[in-house]
Amino acid sequence: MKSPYQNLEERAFWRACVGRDDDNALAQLWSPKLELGRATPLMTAGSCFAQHLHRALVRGGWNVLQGEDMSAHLPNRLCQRYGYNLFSARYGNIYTARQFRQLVEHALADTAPPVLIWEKDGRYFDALRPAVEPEGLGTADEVRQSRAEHMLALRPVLEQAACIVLTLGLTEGWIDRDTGLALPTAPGTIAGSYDPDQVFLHNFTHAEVIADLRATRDLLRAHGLQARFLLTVSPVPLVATASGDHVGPATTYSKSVLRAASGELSMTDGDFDYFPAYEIITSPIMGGPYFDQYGRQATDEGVQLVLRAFGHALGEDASATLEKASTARAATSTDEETICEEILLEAFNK
Amino acid sequence: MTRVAIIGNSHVGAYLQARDAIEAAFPTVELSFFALPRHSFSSCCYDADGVLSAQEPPASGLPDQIDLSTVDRILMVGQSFAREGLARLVRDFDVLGLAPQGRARSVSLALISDYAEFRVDRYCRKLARFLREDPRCVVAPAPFPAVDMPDWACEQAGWLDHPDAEQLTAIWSDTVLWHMSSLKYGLMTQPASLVAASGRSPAEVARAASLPDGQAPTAADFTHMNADYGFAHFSAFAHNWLGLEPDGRTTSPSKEHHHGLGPQ
Repeated sequence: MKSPYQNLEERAFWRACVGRDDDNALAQLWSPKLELGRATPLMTAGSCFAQHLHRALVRGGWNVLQGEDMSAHLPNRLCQRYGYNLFSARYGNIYTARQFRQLVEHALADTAPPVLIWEKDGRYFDALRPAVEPEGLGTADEVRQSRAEHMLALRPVLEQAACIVLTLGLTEGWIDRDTGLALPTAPGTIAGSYDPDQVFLHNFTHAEVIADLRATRDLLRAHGLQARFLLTVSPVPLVATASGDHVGPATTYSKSVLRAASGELSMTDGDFDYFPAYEIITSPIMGGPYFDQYGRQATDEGVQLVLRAFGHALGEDASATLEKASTARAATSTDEETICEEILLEAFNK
Repeated sequence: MTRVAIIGNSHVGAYLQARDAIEAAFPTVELSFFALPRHSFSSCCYDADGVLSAQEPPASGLPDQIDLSTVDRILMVGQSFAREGLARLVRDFDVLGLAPQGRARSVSLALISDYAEFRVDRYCRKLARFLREDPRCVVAPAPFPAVDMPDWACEQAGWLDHPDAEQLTAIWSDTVLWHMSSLKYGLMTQPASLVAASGRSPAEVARAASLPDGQAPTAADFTHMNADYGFAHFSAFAHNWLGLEPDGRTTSPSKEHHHGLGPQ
C-alpha cells in the first residue's frame, strides 16, 4: 500500500526534526523562494525583533540599503537612541502591515503626505515615529522638516531595494480618526494624550493584513519598483492588549493572523516568501522555545539560531558571515539593546 | 624652584617658543616639555616610577620621555575634548532649531547635546586614566582658532563660522566643565584676555601673526598660537595654580623668539 508520506524528505517529519539545532537541521528549515545573495539590495523594516536581522545582515556584509546612515558620525549608542541605522531608514519600529503600507504610500506620494504631531511638555513629536527623537523637537515645524527629509531619504531606498525583509509584529493598532493614519503606538505612551474621540483601536484581520501587503506590493509595481518581500513574524508576545481580551489569547490571535497571512501570501504569490523565525523562537522544533525568564524577549541563543538558519538556507557563505555577525552582536549587547516602544507601555503601566 | 612639566600635542609649541620669556619672568619656575607622538595617549606609557615614555619614535629633536615624578605641576595643553566630532556633525548636517545652512539632512539640537555629552565623557575618562587622576595635573583645552582665520582655512575652525556658533560653543564648553569637575585634574579654560570673541583667539596671538616675512600661513597657523599666547597662557596658569606673578616685561615674547633676542 502506498502513502503520500512515503519518500518525503526528513524535514517533513516531526520526529526526525524536532529538537535539532545542528547545521543540517537548520539548513532544512527554510527553502528560499526568492533568490538572495550578499549583493542583493535589501531593505529591512518591522517590529523590534527586525532589528536583530538588520544588524546581523549589516555586520555580515550583506547589501543592506541605508537611506539615513549615521554610522560614520555617531557611536552605536546614539544611533540606537535616535533611531538611526536600526533599519534601512529612520522610520522606527513598524508593527503592522498597515503602517508599512502607509509608509510606502507617503514615500512615493507626489504631494506632501500628512504629518501628525504630538506635543508633550512643550516638545513636539512625529506621531508616526515618536521614539526617534526621545526628547522631541523644539517646534512643530522642526517635526515637519525632519519628516520631509526622512521621506526624501526613504524613496531611493525603495527604488533600489530588490527585497524587503519585513518583520510583522502586531495586528492591534491605533488609528487617528481625523487623518486615518495608523500609529505605531497609542498617544499618551511616548507623547500626546489619549482621547477616544481622536483615536480608536483597530485589530486587523487576516484579510486586512493580506490586503495591506498586496496593496504595498501593487503600489511599488505601479511606480516601476521591483522589490519583493521576505516576511517574518516577530515571536515577541504583546506587552499589553487594549482589545479587552486576556493578553495571552490576544497574542495568539495577533501572531496567528500574521503567520497565516504570511503563509498564504508565500503559498499563493510569487512576490512573497516567509522565513520561519517565529517557529525557531516559539516552538520546540529547534530545541526552543527561546524566551527569557519573563517569557517575552527572545534569548540571544534563540536569536543566533534564527540567524544561523537564515544563513544556512542561503548557502555556506551566508551562514559564516551571519554567524560571525551574531557573535559580534553578543559581545556588544550592552550598547545595542533592542529598542522597543512597547516597553514604554509596560513602564507606563507601573 | 617650582618644576612644571608642559605636555600635550603640537600646541606645546607655543610654550616652547615662550620658554625663555617664561623663565625670565618666573625665575623660580623650571620648565620641562614633552609632546605625545601622534597626539595620542595610547602612544605613551606612564610607568610606576612616574616616567612618561613614547612607545614609538618621536619626531626628530623631540624628547622620547619625561620624568614626571619630580615635577610639582603638570600642565597638559592642547586637549581637543572631542571638538572634531562635534564640528563634523555641524559641518555635515543642519541643526534643527539653529540657523539653516543648506545641508540636505538635519539633526536635532538634542542629538548635538547628547553627542557632546557622550564624546566629552569618553574623552575625560581617557584623560583620567592617562595620568591616573594625578592631582598635580591641570588640563587646558586647545586654544580657540584666531578671529581672523580666512575662509579657505575655515574647516579648521569647526563650527565657529556657524551663525549660532555661540550656542554650539556653550554646549561644548558646559559639557567639558561638567565632566572635568568630577576629575581630580584642574581645568584651565582659555583666559578672557586671550579671547577675542566667542570661541575665537585674538589674531595677534596666532602663529599666523608672527610668521617670518614672506611666509604664507597655512590653516594650522590660525589654530596654533605663538609665543605671546604661550607666555600669557602660562602667566594665567602661574597666577591660578602656582600663586606666582610675572616679573615686569615690556616686549612681546613672540618678537623676542622670532628675532632671536632671548629674554629681556
